[in-house]
Amino acid sequence: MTLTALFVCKQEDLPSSWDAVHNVTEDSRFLGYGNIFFKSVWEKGGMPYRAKLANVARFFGQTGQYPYAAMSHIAVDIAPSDPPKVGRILRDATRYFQRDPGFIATNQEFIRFVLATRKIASPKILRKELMVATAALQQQPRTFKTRTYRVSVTTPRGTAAFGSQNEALLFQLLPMMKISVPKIAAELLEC
Amino acid sequence: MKYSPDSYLARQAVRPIPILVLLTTASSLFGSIPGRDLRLNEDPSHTRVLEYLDQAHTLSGNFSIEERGWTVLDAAEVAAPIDPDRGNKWSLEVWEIAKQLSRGQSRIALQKNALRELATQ
Repeated sequence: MTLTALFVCKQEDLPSSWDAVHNVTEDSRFLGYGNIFFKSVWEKGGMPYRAKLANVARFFGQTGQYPYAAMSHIAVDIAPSDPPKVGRILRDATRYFQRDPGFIATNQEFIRFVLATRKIASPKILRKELMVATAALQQQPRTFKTRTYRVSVTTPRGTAAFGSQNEALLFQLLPMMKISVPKIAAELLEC
Repeated sequence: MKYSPDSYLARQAVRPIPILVLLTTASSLFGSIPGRDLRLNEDPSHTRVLEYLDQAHTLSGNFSIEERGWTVLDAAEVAAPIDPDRGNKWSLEVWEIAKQLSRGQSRIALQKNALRELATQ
């Protein structure tokens, strides 16, 4: 039945068929890991299913939102044995992030992906991820524009308050940016 | 899939109580399920569970399409560890039921959950 699921999944309603971007905050087909079929297939099937799942992930990236959470699990799992395949997954995630139709949850999902895979990403790929993420996080949301967002982050050096999700996500990336893309980090801190 | 609390509560609120009782009773007969690796065996409690689930499945035929989908999905989730064939059959049924709904969050949620159950078995 695992193969049935892999086959049938491409027949799920595409987000474009019901204007999902303006009706829900995420691509409902694939948010999360344990709540979708990737977990069962990966944990039961293992490496023989890696390519099939990567292929399905690309299909979902092409037609809506890339399954960032699921693919970050797989990337971390295969990192010790197959670094080139990890690079492919990370590049796919970045590419489809740039093509996302505008789900409001996408920025957060991608940032979580970057954070989850930062230790297995090559410096070059990590720089690319951070540059792409930084550019996206400085744009206004394309959907759910009236949604309010408040978050306070307390650190040993003080408390920071943010009035948008993107600002809070940038804050999460800042320590990595200072190391990987210091110039961009400095520019952000000057703003 | 994330549900808004409103829609989740609404779904729970309209679900017929007898089916909930049947499913709850069926689940409780297991006690704690270690993973989902139970298989149909000679344990009479498994037979009883499946009888309850069959009843729930039959009764769901009188529900609205959406409620039927969620009920059969619940039944599939409970049945799958002890009778994978039944779980598969009902998961595919949920997939077909979803096709009868108009496009939207509820339909895609049923599709996604049916797929998850199929992959689990």
